[in-house]
Order: sequence, then structure tokens, then C-alpha cells
Amino acid sequence: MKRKKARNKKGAFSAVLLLLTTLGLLMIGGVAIDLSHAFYVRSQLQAAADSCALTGAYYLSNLHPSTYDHRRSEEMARQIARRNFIDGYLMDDAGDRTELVYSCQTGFKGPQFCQITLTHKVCTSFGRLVGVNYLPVTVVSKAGAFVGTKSVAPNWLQNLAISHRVLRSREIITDPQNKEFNSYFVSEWKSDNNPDIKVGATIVTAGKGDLNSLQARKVYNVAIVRGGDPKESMPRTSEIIGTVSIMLDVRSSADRSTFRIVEGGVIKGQPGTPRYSGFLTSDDMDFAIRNGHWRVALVQ
Amino acid sequence: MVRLRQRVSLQIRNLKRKSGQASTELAASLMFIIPLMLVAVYVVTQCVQAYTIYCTLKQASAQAARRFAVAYIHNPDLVRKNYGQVCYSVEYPGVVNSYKQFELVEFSPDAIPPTVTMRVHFAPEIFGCRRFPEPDILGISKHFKMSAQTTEKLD
Repeated sequence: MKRKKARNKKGAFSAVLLLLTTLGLLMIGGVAIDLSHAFYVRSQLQAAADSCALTGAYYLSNLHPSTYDHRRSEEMARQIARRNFIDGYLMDDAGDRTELVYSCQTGFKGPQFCQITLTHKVCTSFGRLVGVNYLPVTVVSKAGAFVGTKSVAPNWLQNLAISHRVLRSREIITDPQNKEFNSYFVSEWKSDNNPDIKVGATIVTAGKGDLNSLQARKVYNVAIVRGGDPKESMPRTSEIIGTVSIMLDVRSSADRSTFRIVEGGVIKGQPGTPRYSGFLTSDDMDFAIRNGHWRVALVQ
Repeated sequence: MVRLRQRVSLQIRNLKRKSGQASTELAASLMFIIPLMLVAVYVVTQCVQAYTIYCTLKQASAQAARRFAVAYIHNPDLVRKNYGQVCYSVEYPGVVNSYKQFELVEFSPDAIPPTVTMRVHFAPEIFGCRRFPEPDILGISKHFKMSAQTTEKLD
């Protein structure tokens, strides 16, 4: 009888020891699994926050964003957020576990900023055994919409340069003999194979070209060059002071065409206000800023 | 009566002997089980720690690559020359303590898509990293190295 009791005691002790060890190992392993899962979700959240912030900033790419722009920016940022998968579920389906805080910071002439803070409660697998059901993960992403670009990446500009003078005649006139000469084909590169361009420093010269080689109603990104003093003829050599998107309408000849400036164009390059090597007239500056491309980029 | 007394004392003696035998068996079995359990706990703990370090390194490399990409958009020349600057603030105490732990593996601004790959290294007791394994019974600490890398789109 006593022997049986002693054996029982031995068995119980071993079982308790085994149980405690297993529990300890499970907890240690659980911490690592939950932690790595949280890191994984964090990287997904960061990607989602980045795309939301970039989208929000894109809809703020306006010199004076209105209340409507702000509302649209937030709406679109939230819409993009809902397209992201977080922890295996579309963000919308995660219910109250995910929180998106939108904030924007806008000013006259930009840059306009959009900040997204995403918080997600990551469900724990093992933490819940000790009462920790969620691990909160927060990421922040901030994107800016910059008016103007400091540089333009290769292959983004057509070899056409226009100046503020086009606003006067409402036509692109590339004939240098014409008194209203206001644009020219750039001789430095062919078609849209532009090299790396430093806005404010890269100098281009007038070359020959035919406006008929460009398609009607197609959006072209072109360079903005100095128009110079309106009383004098337009300089045939100038630095690029900006970029703009245009669409050609009716062509009356190979060197004359009506056109429209297309708003909302985004170009690839380094965002920010360019440094100009010389003095710009107010007409040049105004034309470049009001019609220039916007650049959307992450800042944080 | 005397016989009965003799029989009882014999039974008691037998029981005492058996009880001692059980205790000895318990002690003997624990001598095997406890070291095995200790070894198991130690191995599992170190494996878990190694996995946690790897996850942390992966997170640090992702953070550094993202910062590099963000900084590159705004100032490509500066980032190209001194990529260490973007890694200054990436810190995970005990695992990632210094910008010197980062390595620029690949930087392809002209590729499609343009990418950057950052790698972060962990070596025990270098750059303020913690000791691993702890305790280092087999003396493998000096041979232990771990790294993780992440590729991020540049634009």
C-alpha cells in the first residue's frame, strides 16, 4: 500500500515538473511568435500608411487647397486604406481593431502635407493565455505634395520648350521669324528621351522640329524656359525653369498650334523649389509656379 | 503471540525497505529528467532569442531601407555619399545600436524599378550588442553572427 502511494507521489511530481516546464517553454516561444507576428503586421501597416499618405497628398496638389480638396484627400486616403490587407484581412474587415487618423497641413504655394497614423491591434496567439489579447502597433507616414521639381528624371519630357509668352497668343509658335515666337524644339535631346535635368541650371537651345510629329489630344510633359522681356524677342538659349503638361488641339501649320495646359500632372524627379542661376521675371516665375508639375513624395 | 509479533515486524521491515527503494528510484529518475529538462529549456530559450533577434534585425533593415528611400527622393547626392546618416536613428537596444551595423548591399537608382537593399549585422558584444547566447556554455558567442536585409523601392 505504502509503496503504491510512494510511486503515485513520484508520478505526480514528475507530471507537475513536466507541466511547468512545458508551460514555461510555451510562454517563451509564445512571446517570440507574437512579437514576430507584430513585426510582420507592422511592415504591412507601414506599406498601407505610405500609400494612404501619398494618395492624400496627391489630392492636395493645389496652390490653394479648398475645403473640398481636403475632404476629397481624406476620402481617397481612407479608400486606399480599405484596399490594403492587414494581417490577412482587408483593412475594412478588421472592424474596430484598426484606426486611421488623417491630418493635413497646407499652406500658400505648398508644400502640402498629409499625415496618416495607423493603429492596429494585433491579435496574440499565446499572449491571450496570460490575458494579453492584443498588441497595439502604430505606424506614421507623412507625404508631401511639392509644387515644382528640383530635377527631372530621364525620359519624362518631350523635346519641346514653351515660355510664358504662349499665354498671350494662346498658341504655340515655333517659327523664330515670327514676332510672336514663344516656343521651340529643344536641340539637346530627341523626342522624349531627355537626360537628367536640373531645373534652374540645365541650359537648352532652340532647334528644329515639326509640331505635326506630335499627336493631337495627347498629354505631353514639356519644359518651361525663359520668355524674357515681352518688349524684346524671346531668348533662343535659356535654362529650364520648370515643367508643364500640355495638349495640342488644332494645328494650322508645322510651327503653329493651339494648345491647352493640362492640370494635375505629376512628374518624376526630385521634389522642391528649384534654385535658379539667374534672375527670373515675375512673368516667368508666375507661369512656372502656376502651371508647373507637382511632385508627391514621402517625407517621413 | 510471539509468531504474530515476529510476522508484523517482518512486514514493517519489508515496507520500510520498499519505501526506501521508491525514493531511490525517484531520485535516480529525476537525475535523468532534470538535466534533460534544463537542457531543453536552455536550447528552446536560446532558439527563441535567436529568432527574436532575427525579427528585430529584419525590422531594423526594413526601417533603414525605407528611410534611405525617403531621403533619396529629397537629396539623392547626400544619401549616395553618406548613407550612414539615415541609419543613425534606427535603434533597437541590445540588437541594433550603431549605424556601423548597417551595410548598403545594393543601390540601383537606374534599375526598373529603382531599388535599395540594406543589410544589418548582429554580432554579440560588438557595437554594444548584447551577449548571445547567455550563458555561453559551449563558447559559440564569438562565432555567432546574424544578419537580415530588406529591399525597398526607391521612388
